[in-house]
Amino acid sequence: MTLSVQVRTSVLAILVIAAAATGLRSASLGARPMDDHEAQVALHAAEGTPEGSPFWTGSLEAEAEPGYAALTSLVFQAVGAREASARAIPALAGILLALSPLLLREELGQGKAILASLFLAVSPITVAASREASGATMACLGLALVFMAFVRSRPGGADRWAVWGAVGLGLTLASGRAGWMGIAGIVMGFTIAWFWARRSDPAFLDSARSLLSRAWVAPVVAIVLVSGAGLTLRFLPDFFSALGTWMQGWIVFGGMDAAPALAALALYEPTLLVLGAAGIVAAVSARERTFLALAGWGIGSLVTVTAYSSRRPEDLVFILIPFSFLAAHSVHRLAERIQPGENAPVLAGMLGVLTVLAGFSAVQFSAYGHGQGPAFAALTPGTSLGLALGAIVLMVVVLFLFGAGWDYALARDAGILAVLGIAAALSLSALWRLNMDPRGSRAGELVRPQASTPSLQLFQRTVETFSQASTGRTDAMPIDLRGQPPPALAWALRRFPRALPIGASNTEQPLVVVAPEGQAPALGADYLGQVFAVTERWNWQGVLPADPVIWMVQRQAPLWTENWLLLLRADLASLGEVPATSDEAPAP
Amino acid sequence: MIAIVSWWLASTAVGLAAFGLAWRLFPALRDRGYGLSRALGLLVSGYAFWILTTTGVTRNDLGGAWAGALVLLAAAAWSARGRISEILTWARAHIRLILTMEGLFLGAYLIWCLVRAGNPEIVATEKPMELMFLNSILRSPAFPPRDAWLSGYAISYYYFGYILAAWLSRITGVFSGIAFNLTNALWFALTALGAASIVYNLLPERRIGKGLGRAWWAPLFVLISGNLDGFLEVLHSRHWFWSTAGDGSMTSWFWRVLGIKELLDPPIGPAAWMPQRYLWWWRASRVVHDVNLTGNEVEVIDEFPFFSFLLADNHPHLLALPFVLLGIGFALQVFLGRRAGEHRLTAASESARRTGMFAAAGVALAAAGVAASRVPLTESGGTLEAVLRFAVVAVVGVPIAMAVANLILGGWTSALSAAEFLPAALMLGALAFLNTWDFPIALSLLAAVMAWTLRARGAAGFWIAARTAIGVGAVSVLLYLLWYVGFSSQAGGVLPNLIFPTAFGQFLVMFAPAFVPIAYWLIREGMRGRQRGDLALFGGVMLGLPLGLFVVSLALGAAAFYALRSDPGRLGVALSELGATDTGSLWSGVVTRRLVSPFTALSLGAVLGACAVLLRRVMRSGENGGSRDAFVIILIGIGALLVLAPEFIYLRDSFGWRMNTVFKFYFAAWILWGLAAAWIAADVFPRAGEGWLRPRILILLPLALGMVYPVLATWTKANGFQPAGGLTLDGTAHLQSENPGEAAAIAWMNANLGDGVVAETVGGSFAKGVTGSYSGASRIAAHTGFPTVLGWPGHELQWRGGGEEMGSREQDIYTLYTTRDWDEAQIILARYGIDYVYVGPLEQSAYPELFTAKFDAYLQPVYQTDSVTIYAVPLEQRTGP
Repeated sequence: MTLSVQVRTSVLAILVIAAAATGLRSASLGARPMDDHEAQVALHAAEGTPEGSPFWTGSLEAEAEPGYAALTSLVFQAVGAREASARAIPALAGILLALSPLLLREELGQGKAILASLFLAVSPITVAASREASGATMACLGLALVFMAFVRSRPGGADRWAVWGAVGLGLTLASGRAGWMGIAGIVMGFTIAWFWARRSDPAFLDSARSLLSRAWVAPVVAIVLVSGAGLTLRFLPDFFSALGTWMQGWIVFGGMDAAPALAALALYEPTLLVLGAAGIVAAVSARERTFLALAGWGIGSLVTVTAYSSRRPEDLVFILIPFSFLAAHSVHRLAERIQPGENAPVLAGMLGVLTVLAGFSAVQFSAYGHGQGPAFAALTPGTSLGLALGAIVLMVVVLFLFGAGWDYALARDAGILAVLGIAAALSLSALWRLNMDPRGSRAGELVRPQASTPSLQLFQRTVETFSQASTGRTDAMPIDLRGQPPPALAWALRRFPRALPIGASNTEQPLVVVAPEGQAPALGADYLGQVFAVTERWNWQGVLPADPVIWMVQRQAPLWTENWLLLLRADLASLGEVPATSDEAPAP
Repeated sequence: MIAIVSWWLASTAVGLAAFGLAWRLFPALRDRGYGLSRALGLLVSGYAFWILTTTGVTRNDLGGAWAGALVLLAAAAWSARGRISEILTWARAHIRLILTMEGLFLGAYLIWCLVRAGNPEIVATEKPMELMFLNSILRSPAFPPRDAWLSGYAISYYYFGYILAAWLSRITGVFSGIAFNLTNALWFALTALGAASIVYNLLPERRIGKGLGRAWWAPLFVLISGNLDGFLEVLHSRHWFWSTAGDGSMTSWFWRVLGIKELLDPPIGPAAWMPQRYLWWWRASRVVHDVNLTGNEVEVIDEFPFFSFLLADNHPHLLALPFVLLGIGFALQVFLGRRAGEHRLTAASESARRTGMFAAAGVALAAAGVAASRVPLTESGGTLEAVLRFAVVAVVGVPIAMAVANLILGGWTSALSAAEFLPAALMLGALAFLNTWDFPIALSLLAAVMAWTLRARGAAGFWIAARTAIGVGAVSVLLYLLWYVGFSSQAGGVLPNLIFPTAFGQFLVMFAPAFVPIAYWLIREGMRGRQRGDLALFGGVMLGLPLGLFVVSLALGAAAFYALRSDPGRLGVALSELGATDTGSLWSGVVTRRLVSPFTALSLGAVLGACAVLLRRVMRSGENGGSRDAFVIILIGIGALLVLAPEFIYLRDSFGWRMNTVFKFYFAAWILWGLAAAWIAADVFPRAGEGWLRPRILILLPLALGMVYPVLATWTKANGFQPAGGLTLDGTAHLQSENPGEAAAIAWMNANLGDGVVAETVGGSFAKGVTGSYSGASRIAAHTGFPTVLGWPGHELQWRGGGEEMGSREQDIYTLYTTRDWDEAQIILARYGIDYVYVGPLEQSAYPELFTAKFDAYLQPVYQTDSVTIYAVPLEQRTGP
């Protein structure tokens, strides 16, 4: 009876995790406008499909992510190019990645596997990466497969898992720059783990050898993937270009600084960071092969991401995968260790006190961040900040006094649980804000150094509206584009035809002119214009914006925006009505 | 400094990776191919980079370069699988050999880096062209790489050496101005190591120590030694052999007999040990001196490796050097490995073999069709020529294709194993792509060695060697087919050398350092244990071969002049080039010249005669490949044939005389003879118990005289290692001081412009004071890799065998810069798809009628300084009025 209940509970847990992973990765997938990197790779994937556009063909240097491009190209062929379809493959890979730990239920134990799966399913950065048009999540899924194969393959036995490992490696290789990044991390990690295990576990390398024996499958899988199973060979050169890009990235700075990347890890993923670090300590002391490999992988990825000059936010996922397993391991150990027995009510009371103090502190931080708190309107922001910090100090004092007066073990357990609770709250908050809250799509987030603004969507809708008015279709109005558009703008304009330049075979003034702000062209007819901020990026120095608390609460940060000018010919701008005067100066 | 280290590291990594391949490929060599593995690794990774990029599998970017490296790694890993511990055991046992080889390589590399740093400028001679090739390859988005001196066309040249340099440049991130000089230094070191490795493997066991042993002679003879011009320059500079007449004029019978240009002239200034004449070191590459019947001089090039490295033109013959040595190393491996001629390359079934042979015949017929289709039928006699071409290609090609298919599919046995066959084709085929002249030479060496090793099987062995060589040659062509289809060779058959026998004195000045030891050794070995019939064989070859070639030359000459009889104009030109007034005076001149100057040909005939005698002795002795002497004799013999051939015939090219044939054949002969001389010095020198003085003098003295040149010429060329601009490897740094405006513009273009066709001065007859070739014209394309409309017209003519592709480009560019009619300019802009118009100091001086107002009015200046303006051509202006 007990067994049957357990089984049902685990199945239920798995279903819940699957639902959470799917929901978090697919809800409103197309709502956020594509940022430049996403637009670049998506446009590259769209080359050769009916989505081809004169605005970007051959003019954009896309980062090579051949596996993503090949598969997304097929998606575009099937359902058309949209934001959601551009992100479909990464989302699917993200769901599979979240569920992948369940394959190790036998080796890790049911509880740890489910917990690891849960951590991956709700990890804010992992979810965010899965909702981005890029090959990074595919690479993560591939590496997860490699790790599963390492754990499950048995030297001398059936090599089914070795083949699966090679398939995973192939998937990773096909993923482009991120894949090479992940491979570097896992190779370094396994080397570290082997160094730790070389005496206690001489057979450590046998599993790796078993994997290597089938390594030849990996390039075959990669080529099959990159060529869309032979349907397109256009992305084949990207396979090696990605390697070149990655190699160059070691010496050329082209991404985010290491400090904000690590800060993002701490601020968005405190749960995994705390529990994962504890898991590494436990794994090294216990010298158990699987967790030793995970600890090595986590450290290897952390070192690689820190040392690499052209890191991107999604590279952090390579750290979070092993940390999820290690965190599950830590939770399992904590659950075994924290057994309050008859002290359970005391522990609960203690936790209650700490929770109230933490909540009070959070409210005060919020009050400070908003300038004033809803419940403490009379307080100045500075006072709110003081109160918030005071509550934290009070939590420490309470723990100390409680430990001194009652039981240090109980105080420690309460402290650990409180810290985990706070970390979990922060992680869940980050999960929601980063992936579900529209404000999370802005460049104010640490994991989004560059983003497109909502006004880009407004821009797109405006042009579509006027196209509808002038041609009867939302995507048929020729646009005279001056200058090289940022990829996100090129993506937004991808459906429109390009107006011929005046003087070639065309003497007619264009209906719509799009130009960078400050480079308004000299036009012979009257135009009405509007400036749109199309993309934005960080505009601060250092790890965090000048006031970290306000940033934490509101994600307010100084941003640099790229503005473009939309000029509509006066007769179109007035939807056919003749402008009042013809001698008005052209807009803006 | 970082660039120097990165190239050394990259080449070392490539060498170590390739050793896995070399281990399997060179089992008979004592060093297991360690000394050749760097060249092998460069070749494999460069080939992979080229073929993958040409077929579109990779792009011409860092990823493509790494793909090449990955292919090398994969091939080496596959080759070395299961042998790692064996390789490590060997390496531990031969650590001193490895260290001395690495020391030789690093020392040569660093020394030559220093020499290059003393005169790094990429100016004059062929350097701008070579920089252009390098930048073109780096800038081209895909392969075949664009010809930056003829926009819209791919390079039509043997450019594989530049691919290898570009591969290294890309993978190390070193910019082309430095990469140019590092290529020179790295190839110098590769040549030193390759030569040492071959001689090391040739030496008998007793002559080697734990390190390189006496193989150190090899870099001296092959690479470091010069010809005797340096020594003669000193004599000349010291006023030796000159006597002063009563009127103060100086005369000299010695210098007159020697007949070397410039040294014929009396010395100027006080006697000095260091030659003072401007560019005196250049003369060493022109000691052979042809004079026609009326006394007019005809240029002949006789470069040797040290001169080429010192000149630092990264020309194909120099870039091919390490790979020629690799080919010789493979021939040595074949020589030392026991051959039975029983290998079957594959084990295809009878039906598959038959199908393959018919398919090959079909391909050959198709090739014949393609060859025929290239003949313009509109021309008079076009149809007949097309039919003849089809017939000739089909008659020759079909049997060869079927034979090669039969060999590959296992119908016939081969002298090479399956594991050797493809690498052999890859290595030898690369020589065609590197420096086409070396391909037939290396293939001949391999064929000779295979025939030698199978000599016990008589005619059957000869046939096996022949078909294996033909098979290797055919597969070589297939491996590099994508290059052949875009290459327009300037070679156009064989012509007779009727009146230019090489003066014996000049021949000795050129080859004495190697020739004297070789001659000594041949005489000594020939005299030892003489057998019956030796003299007859020796005399027959010595006289018969030159005489036979002379008859061939006469026959070719007679046929040529017979064909010209109906075209008095061309006949007159041909006669005047030879300095003859009519055919009668020509034939009399032919006979007179041969009678007056037969010694070079006879000496070479004697060398070949001695080789024949010695080879027959080895054959009779019954030794089965054990005698390494035979390999040396084959090297000497092929070298002698190479020097002898241009005495009577030469390959027809765009120059019209034997200049290039002498250049390429002598250069190859220098390598073969240098290796032989080094072996003689290493093996024979210590055997001097039979009389120590003569061998020492005959080996050391010519070498010592030959060493005068490298010492003095290096000092002069490297500006005493105190160049005005300081020591640097950046070959473009001189622009900063000589023309800062242009240097800034070039830097700006490289940093800011993505791609596009650029218009700049062409030079030639339309430009004032700017010659077409060897001038500063087309320098923007050379320094950036942006294609320009036309570079050096003369060079394009040579590369493409005609001026059809150039059309009216030279005049059009002149018109573009000078016309006042915008419509006319716009047509030119549209015709060539010009994206940028460059107006710099050279444009202003070369085109005095320069009219830039039209550019100011219609084009967009994207870069403007006091001396340079770069205009971008807007999209709407590229479609023409």
